[in-house]
Amino acid sequence: MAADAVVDPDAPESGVWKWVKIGFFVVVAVGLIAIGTSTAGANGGLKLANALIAIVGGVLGAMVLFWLLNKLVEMLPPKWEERLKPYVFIGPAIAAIAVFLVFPAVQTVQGSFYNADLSKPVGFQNYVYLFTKDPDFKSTLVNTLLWTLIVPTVTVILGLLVATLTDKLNPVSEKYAKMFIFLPMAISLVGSAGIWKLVYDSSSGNIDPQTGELNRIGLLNAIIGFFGKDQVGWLQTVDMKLNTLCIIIVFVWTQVGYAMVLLSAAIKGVPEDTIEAGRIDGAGERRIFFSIVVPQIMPTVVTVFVTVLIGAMKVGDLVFAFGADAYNANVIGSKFITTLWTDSDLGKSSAIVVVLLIAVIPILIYQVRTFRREEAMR
Amino acid sequence: MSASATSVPQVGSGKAPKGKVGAKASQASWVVKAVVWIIVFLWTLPTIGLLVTSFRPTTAQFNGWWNVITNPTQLTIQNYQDALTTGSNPMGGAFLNSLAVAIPATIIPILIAAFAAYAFTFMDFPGKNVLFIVIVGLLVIPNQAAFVPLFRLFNLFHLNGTFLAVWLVHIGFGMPLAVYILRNYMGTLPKAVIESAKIDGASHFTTFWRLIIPMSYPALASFAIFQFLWVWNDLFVALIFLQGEPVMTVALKALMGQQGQGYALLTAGTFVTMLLPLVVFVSLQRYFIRGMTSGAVKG
Amino acid sequence: MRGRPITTMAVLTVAVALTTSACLGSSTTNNSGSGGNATGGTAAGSTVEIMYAYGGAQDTGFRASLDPWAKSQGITIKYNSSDQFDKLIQTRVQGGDLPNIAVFPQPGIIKGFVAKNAVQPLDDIVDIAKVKSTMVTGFLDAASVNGKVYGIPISANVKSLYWYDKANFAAAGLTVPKTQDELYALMDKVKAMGKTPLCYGMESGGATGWPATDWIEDYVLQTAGIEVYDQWVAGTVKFSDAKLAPAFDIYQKMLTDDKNVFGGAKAAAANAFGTALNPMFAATNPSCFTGKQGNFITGADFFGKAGVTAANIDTKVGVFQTPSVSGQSPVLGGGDLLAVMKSDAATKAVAKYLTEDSTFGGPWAKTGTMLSPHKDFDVSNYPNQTLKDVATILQKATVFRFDGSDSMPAKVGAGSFWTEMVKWQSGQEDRATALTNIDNSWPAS
Repeated sequence: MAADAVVDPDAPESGVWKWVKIGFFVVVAVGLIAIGTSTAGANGGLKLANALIAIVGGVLGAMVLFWLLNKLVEMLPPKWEERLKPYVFIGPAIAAIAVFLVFPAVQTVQGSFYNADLSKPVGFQNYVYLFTKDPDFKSTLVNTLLWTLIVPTVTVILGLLVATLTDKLNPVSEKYAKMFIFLPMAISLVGSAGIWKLVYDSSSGNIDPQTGELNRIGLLNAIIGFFGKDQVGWLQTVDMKLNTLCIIIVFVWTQVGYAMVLLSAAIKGVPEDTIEAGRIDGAGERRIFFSIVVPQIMPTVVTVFVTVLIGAMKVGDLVFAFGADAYNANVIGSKFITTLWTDSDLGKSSAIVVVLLIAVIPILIYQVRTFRREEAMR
Repeated sequence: MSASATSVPQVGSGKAPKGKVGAKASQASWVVKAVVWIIVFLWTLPTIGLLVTSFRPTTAQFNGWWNVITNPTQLTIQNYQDALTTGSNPMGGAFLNSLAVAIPATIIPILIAAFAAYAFTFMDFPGKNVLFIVIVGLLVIPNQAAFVPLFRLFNLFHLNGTFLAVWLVHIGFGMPLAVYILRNYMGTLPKAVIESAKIDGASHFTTFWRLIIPMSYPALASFAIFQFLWVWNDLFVALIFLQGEPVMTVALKALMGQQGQGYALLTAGTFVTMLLPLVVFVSLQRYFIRGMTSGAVKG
Repeated sequence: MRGRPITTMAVLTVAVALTTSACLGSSTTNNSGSGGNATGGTAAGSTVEIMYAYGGAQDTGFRASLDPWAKSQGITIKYNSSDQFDKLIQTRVQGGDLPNIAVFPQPGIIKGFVAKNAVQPLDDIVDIAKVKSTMVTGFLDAASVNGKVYGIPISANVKSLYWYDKANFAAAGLTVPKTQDELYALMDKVKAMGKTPLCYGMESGGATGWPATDWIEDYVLQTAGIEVYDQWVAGTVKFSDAKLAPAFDIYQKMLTDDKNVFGGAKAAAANAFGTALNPMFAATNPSCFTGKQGNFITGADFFGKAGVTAANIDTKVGVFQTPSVSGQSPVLGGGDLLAVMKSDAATKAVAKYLTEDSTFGGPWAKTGTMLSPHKDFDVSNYPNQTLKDVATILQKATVFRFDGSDSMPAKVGAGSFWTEMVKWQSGQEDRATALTNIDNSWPAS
């Protein structure tokens, strides 16, 4: 019956209107900013008009496209309508993916068999070089493996912990706690690098201009200094992969917010009566969590795990920004960046991406299996 | 947001919400509270370091930021003033450019991906599985690998330097994850709902707009947050495809000299650029309310 | 269909590959303006796009110096500034969409673009003889290929500099060394006091290691001479060559000895370059006495954190040129070189103004973020005596050479040269291994 209420065209908060309203709100908000800043001169005003047209045109354009396509297909005979409609629905997404990812991916696969400026085919030489001659590709692979083992597991556990525990707080506390956990996601890469530099810094040149006293400006080194320990170069210590672990912490710090958002939404979606039923049966909180909540949010846990895993596999600029190159902390992604931007070697950088593509195959196989299982179950 | 969920608009459900919201506060034991706030503290501490630093003049940064506890007089808002007023790219104009990039580049891919996710979840068609795993596999392609091929492609159509170019790139880069997240979410919605809508004579288009979209608000809102942040914090796509029209990240980096001079302005600028993403996060949080979906699902 | 998704995907991929393979071959730039579309039209009313890496005060100073002239000519300048300039310009060239003018901090990139026809010879655009008459001797060689000039500096910096605290130097009874032997004697004197003479740090985030390359370059120039230096930069003399050994010996003797370097030799690899020299400014009992760094180091983010200000810089900070090893006093420096990538009448006018007019940059110089590469530039434009002294060292240089790592292929000059020096300094590798690894990383062809 609730479903009936939803398809009722007179429903007050139906989907289309919601979005139209959101769109309207956005336009009004931007319009207000426009009025507020248009005194900046003709240039500013023009820029603003452009921005407005861009926003309204872009969003409306996409909506109209779907509406038109749908209308067109509905004009066809029912049999064809049924056959073509799925492609209308996935068409734009597939087109976008084809142009922006398949096309570059194919060029990348092809480029991996070419030399540095793609002018001459070289067969498998790029791969042979990477696996036999490159001085640090092996440690790069080991580091990437370390990343893929640690990052998704820790992120999912922490994300689940935060999502579950904040759910038990009162709404105001929940809101703020989540905002603070989410905060790192809102910070750009430049910002994160700056933030963690203040944690890991191990420089010894900071003097007080008045007293000449030497200070430690890295938080961790200041803490261990309190216990009388010498400074540690956290990002420079190769032993025990300390530097890699320190960079992993930064990445996990940014990803837990992501995991929390998705897992929290899933936990909120667990029907209350299934939990009530558990309570009536006398199950404790822990039991309810593991045997009632977790099974129901498992698809989301998998989604989060897989996306964070893939994120950890392709992480690059973060590692690069910490100067990992000189301390064997490279991962495939950062190796790709130095090969592409510093070495300008399009052939080898393409080969590195292909290695990534091959490494992702086990995940694909797993995904196909779950996909099939889900289809069968529903 | 009030403590009572009754004020939250319920999608489609005429029933009272089933939340245990009222009882929540008393249920949270002090252990739970302590654990949450310890995590929050650890998570926020590094950022507090940068926040404090952004209020210190460069010449005072010869010791750790925590020294402001004993010497709070050194704090100043000069870095914020300089970050907003100096530099060749005014942050105000960059703010508008960032909005013009981020809003369409967030809404359009969600719209497109939602349609695709619906088809992947509720429709049958040849090639469905293959297409889906291709999408998952492509998640692993680093964006940088696509820059040069796309730049060349756009050059053929004279698109470089336009907003359209930047949207298209962000739509493309965000698409696999959007489809993946939304499909996996929609996969948890019971197929029975669709069947019953079909029996009532609703077309796929109607079912999608009126039923699936409202039920998917939490997933849509989640992805909206992520996509908005990625676009907002992106540097390279804007640099390459918007050619000189500065967005916030570009203006921010322009505050620094070649050897890293002006770092204090960057710390201040970082917090300026964070404000809008946080507003977006907080305002979209209202879509993560218990009962939001469960009410509609149980027909 | 449902049975073999992987196979289907492979077929799909191959099909797409076949249809797109045509695109890959034609990757070279084809609209570089081919040098010839100087339409004879007037410059007024045109827009010229300039890409460069200046940021912050440098950027505002550059614009303030160019804008008044451009306005008077009716030319609109589209400024495209980014600290990611090097990556951006690679993408623009690979994508075949060039700016009119680009200002390169690294001549190595310009040289790489010559082969791709992405930069145009300036001999046809600028009066090279006129530029040469005022330019610091040797500066134009930085981006010359086969006798043609492709890049002309519009701003410069000096790297052959040691810094010291005037009061602390005097209190310790130290005097400015003129020769390498005097520098060694100074170091021994400091060590006899139970102190470390040198301040050194090479940490710089993603660019960690670059300070070491400036040391090596300066001493290669001193010990091996200008010819070997040029061959080394060009790749014909290897890093492990015996001709370069004296320079690496000096580095090894001075910087890999815990008694010489404050904080210890290994820790120097993790010490931030920006504040590494600051301990020498300690009010009493300084930990180290002198350090080597480019002229930018006097800024607020560096010496400023140790209390150096515009007001006290001339009384507090002392600077001397790298002491001579073999009687010669060559100057190592760097700069930002203008190159024309897509030419038209307005572009030519802008290029001529920026390079031929040796008074260009007055307002910029006053900000203290720029040195003019011209010998006759009025030093009174510089805001303090310290900078005037540095500028004088540059203007009087009989031999000037551009920072070698910026002229080498980026794979070495911004890659292995940095990382291998760090590995050597931090004790991960010995000197021979590090140098062999750099040699092996030099790109073929």
